[in-house]
Amino acid sequence: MSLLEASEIVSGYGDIEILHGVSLSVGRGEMVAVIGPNGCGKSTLMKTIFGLLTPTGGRVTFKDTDITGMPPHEIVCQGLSYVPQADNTFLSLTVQENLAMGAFLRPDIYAVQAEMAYGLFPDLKARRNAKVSSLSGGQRQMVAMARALMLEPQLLLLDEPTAGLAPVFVEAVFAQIAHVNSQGIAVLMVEQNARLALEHAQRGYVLASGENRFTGESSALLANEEVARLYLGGAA
Amino acid sequence: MIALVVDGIILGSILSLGAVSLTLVYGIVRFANFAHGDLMAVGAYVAFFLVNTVFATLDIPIATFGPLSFGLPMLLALPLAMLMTAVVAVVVDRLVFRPMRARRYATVMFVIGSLAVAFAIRALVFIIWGPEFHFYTQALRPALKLPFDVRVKPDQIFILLACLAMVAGLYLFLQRSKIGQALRATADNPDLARISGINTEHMMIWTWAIGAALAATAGILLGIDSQIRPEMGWNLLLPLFAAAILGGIGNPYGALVGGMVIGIVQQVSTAFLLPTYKPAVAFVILILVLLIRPRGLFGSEQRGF
Amino acid sequence: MTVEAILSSGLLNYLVGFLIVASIYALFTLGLNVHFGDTGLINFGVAGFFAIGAYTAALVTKPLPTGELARYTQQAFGLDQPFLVGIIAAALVSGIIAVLIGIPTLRLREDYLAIATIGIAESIRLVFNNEQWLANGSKGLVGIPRPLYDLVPTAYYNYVYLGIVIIVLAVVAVLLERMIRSPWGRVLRAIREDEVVAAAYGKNVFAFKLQALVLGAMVMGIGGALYAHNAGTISPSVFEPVFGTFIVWVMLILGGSGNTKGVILGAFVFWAIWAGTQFATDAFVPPALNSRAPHFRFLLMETLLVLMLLFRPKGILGEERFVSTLRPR
Ligand SMILES: Nc1ncnc2c1ncn2[C@@H]1O[C@H](COP(=O)(O)OP(=O)(O)O)[C@@H](O)[C@H]1O
Ligand SMILES: [Mg+2]
Repeated sequence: MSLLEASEIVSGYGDIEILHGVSLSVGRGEMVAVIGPNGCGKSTLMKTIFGLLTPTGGRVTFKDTDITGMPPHEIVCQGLSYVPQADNTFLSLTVQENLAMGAFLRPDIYAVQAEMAYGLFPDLKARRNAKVSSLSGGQRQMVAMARALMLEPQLLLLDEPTAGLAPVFVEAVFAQIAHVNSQGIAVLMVEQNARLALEHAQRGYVLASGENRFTGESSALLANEEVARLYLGGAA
Repeated sequence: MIALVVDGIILGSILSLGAVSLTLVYGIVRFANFAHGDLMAVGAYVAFFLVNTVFATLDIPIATFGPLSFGLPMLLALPLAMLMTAVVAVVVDRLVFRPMRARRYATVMFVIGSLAVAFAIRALVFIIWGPEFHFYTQALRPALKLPFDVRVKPDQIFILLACLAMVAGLYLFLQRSKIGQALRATADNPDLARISGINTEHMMIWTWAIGAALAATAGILLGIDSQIRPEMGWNLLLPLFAAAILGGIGNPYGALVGGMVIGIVQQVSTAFLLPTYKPAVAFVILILVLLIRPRGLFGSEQRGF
Repeated sequence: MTVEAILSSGLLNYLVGFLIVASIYALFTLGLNVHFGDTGLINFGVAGFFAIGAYTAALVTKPLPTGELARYTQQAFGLDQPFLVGIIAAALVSGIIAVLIGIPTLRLREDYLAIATIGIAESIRLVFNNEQWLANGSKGLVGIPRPLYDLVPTAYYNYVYLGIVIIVLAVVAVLLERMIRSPWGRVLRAIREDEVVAAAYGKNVFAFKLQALVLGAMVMGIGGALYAHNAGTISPSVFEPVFGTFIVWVMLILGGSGNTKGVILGAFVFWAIWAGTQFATDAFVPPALNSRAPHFRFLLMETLLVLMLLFRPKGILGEERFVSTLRPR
């Protein structure tokens, strides 16, 4: 039985429908990549799963609980965490305060989880009392991820975690994601670096124009001529 | 002139407290609340009601504290009036603004709603307490004579200290307490706050309650310093907004400075202009700020505080 | 009954007076509709433009007081010009004030204009209240001339004035309706719906907003002028925010912001409701509470506005292409 199941999601902004019935699932401990051209609705899908947008059709279940239309602050109690694509840190708060907000619902585990986060991102420990607005882009991304890990989620939603990062950092971020995943945390990741994402993930979904286009094992998608030509920028 | 500056500091401390609470609310609810001055009036009138109507019938010692013009009744009335004003603000939010949030209204609708609330509160004050001025006490207290012809009433020293204490208390609350941090997080990035598990509707309640309690205090202190009257909230609106915008709207610490500046300039202006022009003086400063530095002295592009 | 008896009967006189004031308020509402309904600008200082229009028209059409009157009335000038000159002057001066207030605020968030317009309205009222030399201070001006007054017997004059007001209202309404349906008007709507998108299409958002602010303010100035000639006397207390500004907002939202016919209807309907509550408070509020009676009516008006905002934000008539004020934040 899969951990997260989104079926036939219809969603958008106001009267504008962006997703016309998208489905995906994530199994326990699995790493799944969502790729697709800019503007095809990947972020919209993430926002809808996490309750920032209310779908007009379809269902989202997590561990067999229906979380469709649940407000985000309740969804996070179920064991999901989410790192949005943009504005994913509290810029006017310190690093430490960002982590405290991540553990807002569980102050009791804050200390332990913060140590874990600083262990995963040693750079942050030195800057724990710095405002996030004074950090570099790469460090901010670490804060964003650390915040999302504070509640010991079973599934982490990452929306373009490497966007805007220099190539050297891209590899490092993927390594960190792999490390998180190796601890049993399932990862659903939207990525622009489609090839790299599929190389790390077990399965992948290709979205186009708000619909599922291809679905399958990463290796199969990487090997698929059409996927390679249209979405991976070259031959398989 | 120095005497006017000293008067300005007292008025400024009251405006600071009002502007700090106005801008705190703005930072989280994200619209200019035109009913804020009237929340100050609610606080002042509730305290008046408690001191002069309710407590007068009870056996509360009415002796004043040393040289101050008030005693135990006012000290008891203050927290109760803060609480009552907080309740009023939270109820207004429930009835007016929360439904608007639920319907995802544009900012302009909230602003218009807040103007309606402002006038409604004022109408209620008129209906309940009438159009007359009221004073907490008729007793006159001698002023302390300081060098340079400066006279300060003991009450005014209390007002200054009380305002500073309240703002310091707010600072500690926002920095140290869990709720305070969550309020700052919500002001900074409401969606991320929700994703982090913060129920932003609860934060709205906290914001209105704290903002209104501070506004009530400012209103009461203003009443101690001068008098209370139904239009006090409306007349405070321009100085409050001028102070908040001068300090950088959404930034409580900037509003502290903004309030002082507006208070001092308003008082000093009475050397050249009729005192009734004080709101217009605040307006002129407001326009100058908007022309020269619309972000205010301490404002940044970034949200949060 | 003879025609004469009907025309001079009390009830009819009341009705004519009612229609005159309602039509004048309809002009304010039309002006505010250009601001808010068409462009999304929050003007909380309608009373300021109302006052400027009224005082300008009064000072332009009134002669300087002479003889005994001069001892009680001070005014900076009195040009003794015809009615139409007064109207035009009222519109122009209102427009100039709008430019002055628009320049510092229209590039900023919408709330700043709201604050600044309150400030200008309050400042204008304070100036007229305190500067005796300008327009007789708090006592105000009396004897503002009435156009075509010598044309008909005094008892029938109100019919003439109602005619004038309705003609002005009709001309303004038709012109505004044309403008808003022109390409220029469509840009205003686009700005209201999404400023960023309008800017992305290469529109100078600031210039369009300023033009809308000025246009609406001129209409309000004309309304103020018509008010002054109708009342014959004005004083600063007329331009208090509740009667000068808030009531116009209630009329606008009630009728349907963004809809020319709707906002005119809103003005008439609300003015009727308002008159009705006058009778109600006269009948039900005990005389001991007389000084507080108006505030019961204000409270009613404020409650009505909140209820409209919440449950019928499109007003009685609504708007064909109403989106902006309900756009998600
Ligand atoms: N807040 C919004 N309001 C309206 N349309 C939006 C909003 N955010 C995104 N869109 C539109 O939705 C579509 C999908 O956007 P998004 O889900 O962010 O794409 P992706 O993440 O796949 O690049 C785009 O056409 C975008 O313009
Ligand atoms: Mg995206």
